[in-house]
Amino acid sequence: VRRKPQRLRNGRHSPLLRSTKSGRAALQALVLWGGVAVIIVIGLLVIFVPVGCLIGVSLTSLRGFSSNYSYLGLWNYVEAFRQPEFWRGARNTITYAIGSCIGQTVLGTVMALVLGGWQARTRRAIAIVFFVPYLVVPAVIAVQLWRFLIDPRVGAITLAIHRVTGHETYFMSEGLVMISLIGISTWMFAPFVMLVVSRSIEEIPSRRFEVIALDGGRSADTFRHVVFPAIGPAILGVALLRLVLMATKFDVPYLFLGSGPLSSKFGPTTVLIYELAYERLRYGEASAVGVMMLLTLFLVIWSVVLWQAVRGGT
Amino acid sequence: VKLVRDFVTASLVVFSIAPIGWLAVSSLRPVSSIASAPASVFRDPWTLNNYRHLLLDTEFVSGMKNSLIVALSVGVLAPTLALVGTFMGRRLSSKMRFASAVFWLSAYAVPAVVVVLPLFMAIHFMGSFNELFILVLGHLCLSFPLAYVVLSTRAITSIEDGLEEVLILDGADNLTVLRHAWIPSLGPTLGGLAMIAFTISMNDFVMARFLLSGRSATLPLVLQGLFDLSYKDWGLICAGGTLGIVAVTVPLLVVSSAWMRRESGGMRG
Repeated sequence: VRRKPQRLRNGRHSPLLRSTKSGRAALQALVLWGGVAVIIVIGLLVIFVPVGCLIGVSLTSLRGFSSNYSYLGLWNYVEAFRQPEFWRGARNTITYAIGSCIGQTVLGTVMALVLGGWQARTRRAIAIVFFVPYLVVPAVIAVQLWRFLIDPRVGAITLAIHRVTGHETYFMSEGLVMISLIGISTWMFAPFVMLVVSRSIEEIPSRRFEVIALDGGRSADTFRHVVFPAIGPAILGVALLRLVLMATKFDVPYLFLGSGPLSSKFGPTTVLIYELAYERLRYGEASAVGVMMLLTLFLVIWSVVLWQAVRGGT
Repeated sequence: VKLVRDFVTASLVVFSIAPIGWLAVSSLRPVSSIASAPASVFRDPWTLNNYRHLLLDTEFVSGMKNSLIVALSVGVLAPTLALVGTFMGRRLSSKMRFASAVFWLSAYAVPAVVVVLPLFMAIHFMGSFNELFILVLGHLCLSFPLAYVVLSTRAITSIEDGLEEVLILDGADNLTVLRHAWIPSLGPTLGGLAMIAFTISMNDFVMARFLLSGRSATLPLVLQGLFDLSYKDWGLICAGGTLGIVAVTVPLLVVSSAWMRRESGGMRG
């Protein structure tokens, strides 16, 4: 309930109210509602305009910025289903998203478990070091750095493998390129998983560790009965988030594969959308693929949310 | 068990930062010796030629300037707008607040490659519009949903019980409530969100790739340009990568140390 400003006994406003002069009301309204207007514009830009644009353009034959286009109905969707490159993109997206999600979840969880064993000050220092690849290495640099390390001519890793085994390894060959891509993504994004899992480890009451220690439990028992039940939901949640984020990743695969035969053969759907829209200027087909990707993503996200709700989870 | 823990920790530390260390070391070696075996690192003379070449003969400095303009704008705007949005959102009914949270969570899942298409078309139709301004808008689309969702959940738990109500009963206006209740309580969260927005913006390649032309290229575009040359000058690429990492790290360190000093000062006081 908003009341009229109270006056002090001496007839003056309280110190808090003295600063709120009536002339500021207009400025206040301007700042606050101006901010809300900008937020609405961002909302329009983030969801309504892109999704509306995508759906609209996916129903047309639009190519480039030509004004000569016609309404095609669902033809672009039918056509996309008939193209082998669509299915190749979908297969690559699934392989890349699941592979890198597993890699990040496993490595991030190991990082978090290892951190849990150190004293607070050391733990903080190690956590900062673990976090470096995620926080301060832009995707462009991360990809160039790893391309440098695995380069067949100058790469330190390639040269080291050659020195030990006597064989030359081509990480950009067809057999290894997807594994290399998943490896780079794991190096970059595992710290994100570490952050979430280590937070849930810190939230375990110390009493539980004391009880199992008093019962003579070993490290394995502590992990099985105390740590794992506590971090399980966090791991599941963060793995789902990483899966969605990796399925929509564009920069790392695009930068790593470059534009060429490797990109056509191993590029995920996001790279296919880019190629269709910005290289071949086939906006209609690119938008149809984009709509199908969005629908699949939302279907996955909301299935899991509903499944959790039905199970009574949070 | 302790030995295993120490070994795994050491391996993970090496795995995390050794590649970056190798990049930095390689940036100080002459181009001719980069291809030689790693053991020769300590035998070869070290040089700053790669850095000199990078700073004088490429677009690195202007790319850095453009990136800092965009990232600082986004770092300030994303948490500020999220604060205003959350503050005004608290006046909505609980159903509307839930709907708005779902909306922004969904926005977070929309891929950047999809968001960029209408912005790309908008640039085409607007012609000579300021490209960096459009990029700031594009980066806000990436950072704002996260900032809004985080702030709206933190606002429930962080603001001291009853403080806001007391101020309103005292007749305080919106800005006073924001200044005396919200900003002090959410200060650390706002600082963290500003750093995240700054980093997302500094690191972004996708939006910049589609929205910018050569004359206003940001740092990731300039670095990618070096990599795309038909002849790969690894010394130049390593120097660019090292300075690019420094460019993201230094502002983060400055802001986070100032923030921690302020927090510890507050605790002492």
